[in-house]
Formats: sequence, structure tokens, C-alpha cells
Amino acid sequence: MTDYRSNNMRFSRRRFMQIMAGASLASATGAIAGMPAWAEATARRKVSLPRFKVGAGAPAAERYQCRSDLKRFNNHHNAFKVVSDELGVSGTGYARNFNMVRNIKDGKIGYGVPVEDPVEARLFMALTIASSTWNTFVGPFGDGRENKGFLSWLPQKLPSDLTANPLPLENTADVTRKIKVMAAYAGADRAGVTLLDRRWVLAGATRNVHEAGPPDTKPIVFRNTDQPMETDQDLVIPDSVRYAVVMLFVQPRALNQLGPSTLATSTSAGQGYAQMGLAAVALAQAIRSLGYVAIPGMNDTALNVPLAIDAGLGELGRLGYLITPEFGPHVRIAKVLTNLPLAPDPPIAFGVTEYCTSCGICAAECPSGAISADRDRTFEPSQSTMPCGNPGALKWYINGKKCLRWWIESGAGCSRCMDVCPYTVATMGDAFNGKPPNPEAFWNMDHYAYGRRGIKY
Amino acid sequence: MVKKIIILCLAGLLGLVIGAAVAQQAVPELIELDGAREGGGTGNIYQSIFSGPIKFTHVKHVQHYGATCGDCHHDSDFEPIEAYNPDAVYACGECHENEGLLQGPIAENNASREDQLAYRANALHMRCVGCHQMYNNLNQVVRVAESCKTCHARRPQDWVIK
Repeated sequence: MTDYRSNNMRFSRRRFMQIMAGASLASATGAIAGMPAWAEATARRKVSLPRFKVGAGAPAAERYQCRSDLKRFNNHHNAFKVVSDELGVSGTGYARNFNMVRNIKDGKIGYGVPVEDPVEARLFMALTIASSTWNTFVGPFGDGRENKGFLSWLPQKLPSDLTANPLPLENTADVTRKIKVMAAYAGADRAGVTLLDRRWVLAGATRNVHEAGPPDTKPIVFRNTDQPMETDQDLVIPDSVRYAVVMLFVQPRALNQLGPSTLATSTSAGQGYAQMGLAAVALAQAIRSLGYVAIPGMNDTALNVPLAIDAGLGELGRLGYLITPEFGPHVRIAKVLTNLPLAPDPPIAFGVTEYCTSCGICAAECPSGAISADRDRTFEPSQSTMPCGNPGALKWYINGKKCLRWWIESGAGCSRCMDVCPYTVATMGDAFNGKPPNPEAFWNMDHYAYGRRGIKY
Repeated sequence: MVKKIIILCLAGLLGLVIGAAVAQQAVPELIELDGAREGGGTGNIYQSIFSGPIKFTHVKHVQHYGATCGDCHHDSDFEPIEAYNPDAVYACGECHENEGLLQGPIAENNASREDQLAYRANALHMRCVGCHQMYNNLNQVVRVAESCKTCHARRPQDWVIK
């Protein structure tokens, strides 16, 4: 068992206690304005910050007590697809952007901050583009982009002398360590390795997942082939692909604190996605240059959270995100599936399920009621979630439709749950040092992209 | 020209008559709904902070948004009440007797549709949010509110329902 110690804390426990004392007093007197959202939520619910040690955990399937009837998730049940069908247009590509543009014209950054300044709104829009352009180019988000463009499943512009001649490997542990260093150089903040549990691979790749209309879904299958391939009927992953390198990308804390639902929170997520696209493609190319198969993935191809749990990077939280000991839920996840023999990392546990059972801040603070407020986990999602939920795993099911429709209503990604999660506060601290978050303070920060400094690779 | 003046006068007269009729109905302009009524849960529910009172703009929905009485005041077959009597009281609670909101995967999956509709807040959510969603879907953009945050006032709380 390893003693947990955050290397990101920018404020001490003493400073935390000071903030909480102020928040408690404000809460008791009803004077709640001006507190950071997390402090207000924590004070009101009298929740203690998690203090934990990281120990041995169980793989996701065991942790979720997966039933035998659990099916591989088919991406045409993705909330983006379902809501797009409900609206008859692209939920993110059209409907959300419609409200985003309206906000900008009105000079609003979003719902989270009381700013009505067209210049400021345009500047934040530019910031969003600065952070997320590479997500747009590589993905966007990867959804439905299996074997497309940069996310091709085959080597790109690499000498065949390298790709056709697998490097003989004897010391798997040494190679694994060096692959993680490569992942770090490619842009990942953490990397882990797992044996690939095929239950987490998508049953089908839906090409039009962000569009309305009949689903254009191609099954993803495993076959005894040398290289991945795409036929008219399906996408084929070689049987030899038995490993996954899973990578984490920290999101900037300050931006998420300007939420919920502002251009700032969209910027934060956009940066995570942009970096994951670059890193996944780069690491895949590196592995291919060693002569092995590598399939890069953002949100495509396989479910990221259970893969990350299996790779020893964290546990599943009530809010549906992976919670990590280093960055809480403040991360995005990408992966590379490969047949390069690697040494898997053991899953970890640090009390997340137990903590989330009695916390519930995310459920109470969610602006759309999308997070389960039940104390206990269930094997079945609520009826109102369907068809987005995938029954058969014991967890807190998220109502993806409610979550996404709130994004569309507000014209931006939300991130409220991520901001107020006590694991975020315990690991990432407060970018504004307990003062009320505001856009002007953000622009004047001397620690750009807060949360990315001091990370030990 | 004379014809136009006559038509305008008739239109004005008609407007006055309708206005007087609406005024006579004495429909409440604003109906405040308690958004934080406990009940219907499994005993395990954490309440949203966005569960404060709702100020439903009753008259505005009819006059500005084009809703009809029957859009909300329906019979047991979910059809608009025939021969709607504006002097009668058609309170939601007359039929949807149970107070509070039955929500969450455990409660939802253990209740039939009828059970859920017996809870007043469930019926109201289905009517209000359902109608808003239908409107938004038809317009292909989420223009009217669907989320908790937009309709419910924020409600401070320091407790957990046990």
C-alpha cells in the first residue's frame, strides 16, 4: 500500500480549513454569494475531503459485479446519437452551437459567470478554439471515427522496414516502462497498461453518432488476422490484440471552476480531447514502428472508464467519470489497443465507491438531475435513461440524455460535477485560492493551465 | 377606406370582448409550486439543490406561448377536458394525489407508469418537461427550459433525506 500524496495541491489543508470556515459561516447566515461552488457545496453538506491510501483493487468487471447478460455497448445508443435523433439535427453540431452563438451575440460566456461583454465572449470563444482545434482535426472526440483519418488503424508514413519487422522483446517490464515514457512525451499525464477485456470494446462503430437519422453502424469484431482491417461489413481487430495502454490527460482546473456550462468549461474539455488525440495517434505510431499492431482511440472503439480501471488508474465515481488518486475526476482518457506484449498494471482501490455512497454532492449539484441520487448502485439504469444505459453492471447510472440536453440548452459543456467533486478539491485544490472564480482573474493567472504543473511522469 | 375602418373597429371590439372574458375567468396569473416536497422516494434520495419553488406563469403560457387549457387540464384518458368550465377548479392534486417526486433508478424501476403518475411532481414533470421537450424537438433546438436549474429556484440545504 502506498501513502497517497498529491503533487498538485496548490493550497494547504490549513487554507482549505480557512475556506471551509468561511463557507460554513456564509452557509449558516444565508450569505452564499461569492463562494467557490465546491466550497459552498462541501460546507452545506458537511462533507469531509477524502483522505485515502491507494491499495490493491479489482478489475472493472469484478468491481461492477458484471452479470452474464452484460452486452458490449453499441455506440448507436450513445446519448449524442439518441438526442440528435430526438431533435432531428446534430445535437452538438447544430443545436448546441445555435445556443452558443446566441450567447456570444448576447455577450455571455455562459451560465456560470455573470458577464455580458461581447468582446470577452469572443475572446473566450477564441480560447476554446485554441484549446480544441486539434480535437476537431483528429476526432472530433473520436466518436464514430474508428479507422478514419488520423485515427487510422494502420501505420501512417512509417518505413515498412520498421512496421513489418517486429522487434524481438525479452524484457516486458522494461518495454512497458519505456512505453509509458513515450506516452508521457506524446502528451499523457499518466499511463497504465491492462490486458484487454473484450467486454469493454464497442459492439459497433456508429459513423453518424453526432447526426440524426438511421444509424450507420459497423460491427467491431475480433478475428485471426495479422493487421486490423475494415471491410464493407465490419471493422476487424486481430485476435492478437490483447493489451491496452490507457492514458490520462488532466484538464485545467481554473476553467472548470468558471462553470457550469460556459465557454470556459468547453475549453477545458476541448484541451483534454485535443491532447488525447495527439497522444493516442503518436503512441500508436511509436508502437507500430516497433513492428506491432496499434489501434488509437479517443472516445471510439472501446469504453474508456473500465479500461482505465483495469489499467490501475482509478475507480468509477458516482458522477460516471473515472476518479484518479492524482487528479480526482479532472481527466480525459484515451487508449491504444495493441498486440505488443506488455506487463499489465494491477487495479487500484482507494475507497471511491464507499465515499461516493455517502457523498452525493455531484448528484445534488447537477443542473439537469442527470446523476443518480440513489444511495446505492444498481444493475439497471432508470427507464428514463434508456436506450443510453447498458444494463448488467453494478454502478450509478448516468442519464446521458438529460446531461446532453442541458449542454444544448446552455450552449456549452457543463463540468459542474467535476468541479464540485471532493476528490477534485483534494487533489487539484482551488485555482483561485478560495476566492470567487471570475474570468478576469483567470486571464491574469500566472499559472497557466493550472493543474498541469508539477506532474511527475 | 371606409371598409378598412369598419374592419378595424370590429376587430377592436372583438379584442375588448375577449379581453373581458379572460378577465372574468380570474385565472391565477402566477402559480407557485413547491419544488422541494419530500415523498415518493426510496428513502435513499439526495435532493437536488435545484429543487426550490417554481413560479409557473399561468396566464403567460396561454396568452404568449399559445398553450390551451386542455394542454395541461386533461381527463383520465389524457385527452383535453371537454366543455372546460373556467369557473371550476381543476387542480392537479385532485387526481395526482401523492405528494412529492418519485425518482432515481431504484424507485423508477420498481414503479409502474400509473404508480409514477400518482405522484404529483412526476405528473407535473412529465407534462411540463414533456411539452418543453416536444416543442424543442419540433424546433430542433433546446430553446425552452428542460433542466432543473432553469425552472427551479436554487434551494440551499444542509440535509440528506433519510
